[in-house]
Amino acid sequence: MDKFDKRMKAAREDYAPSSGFVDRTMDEVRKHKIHRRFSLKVWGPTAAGVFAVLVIAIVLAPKPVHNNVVDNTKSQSGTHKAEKEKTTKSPTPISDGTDDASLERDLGSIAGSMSRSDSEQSEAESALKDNEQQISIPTS
Amino acid sequence: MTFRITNNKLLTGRLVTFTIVAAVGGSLLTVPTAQARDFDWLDSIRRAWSGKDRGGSSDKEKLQRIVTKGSEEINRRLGALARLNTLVAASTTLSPENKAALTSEIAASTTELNELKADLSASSSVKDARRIVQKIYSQYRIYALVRPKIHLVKLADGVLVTSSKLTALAQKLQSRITTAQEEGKDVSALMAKLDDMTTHTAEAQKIASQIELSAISIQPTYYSKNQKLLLGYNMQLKSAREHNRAAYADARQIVNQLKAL
Repeated sequence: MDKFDKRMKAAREDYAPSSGFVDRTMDEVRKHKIHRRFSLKVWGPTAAGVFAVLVIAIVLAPKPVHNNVVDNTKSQSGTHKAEKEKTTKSPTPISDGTDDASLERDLGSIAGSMSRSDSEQSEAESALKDNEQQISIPTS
Repeated sequence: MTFRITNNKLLTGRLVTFTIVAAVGGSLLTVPTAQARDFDWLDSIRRAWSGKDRGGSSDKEKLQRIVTKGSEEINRRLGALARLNTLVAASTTLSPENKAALTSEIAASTTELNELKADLSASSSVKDARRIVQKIYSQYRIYALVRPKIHLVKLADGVLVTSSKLTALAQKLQSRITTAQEEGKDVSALMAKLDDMTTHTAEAQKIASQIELSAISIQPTYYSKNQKLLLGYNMQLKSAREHNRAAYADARQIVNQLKAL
């Protein structure tokens, strides 16, 4: 192999509920006396007088006073005492809404209003945080 | 001498062959891929040559993209207005006057946005379309102003409702305290609590009334000058609610003490 070939070879490697007395028997006289004793002419005026006295007595007599109205503490029946105790233990409902139950209802209503305001406050703050960005317009 | 000339020729030949093979092979690989992605070679060359719209799309396509984007933004705001309208209609704390005012404002914004959408669809130039889309943000402020404003007015009205209930309760408490006083009971502490309650209630009413009037009248043009206005209103209403809470606490203590008398 000559030099050229050697060199060529080397180069080749690579997201919500009651009248005159004329001629009468003893019997008749007795009957007459008895008649007279019990006639209306004797007893009528008497009865009328007694009746008149009674009427006057009743009209002029003083009226009796009732104990259960004036003096409760000294003479009370059992039923009157029970009615009084019932009256003092349970108070009469006040119609203007100032009783304890009405005031509690009012406080409950106010608490409900405040709770609704809490929700509305949260919604308002959420809306305020929703910051509106300028709209990016596509350029291509 | 002969060897050097022969070596250079060999290397040059190999280089040329390699270059040709690489170019052909690369083309065979890239052209189908580019065509699959709708890439127009000739068009890109034309554009590059002309120097116009180096971004790679025509004015018509760009206009279409702006119109689509603008319509989407308008539709989003129309949806928000519809939800706000439902919220206002269902509110039990808004006064009738405020409800009517807010409903009217929402209706007006809805109508105007629909008109804007029609204008955008009919726009014939990119510049015109851009101008209309900018108005959605700058003139209507649905998210930055209208929505928080409605919530703040609702909140202010809610505070006023609570304050009016506290005022009515204070009058009843005054009546009970007077009765207890006539019975010979010591009511000086109760009177002091009642005075405190009345003061807190009056303060809450004053703040909420002012915010209600201010918030309902604020317009987008004024808002642009003072974007922190609504944040200030929110802080003041928080203060009004704290006054109502203090008045409620006083009322609770008075009721408890009246029961104990």
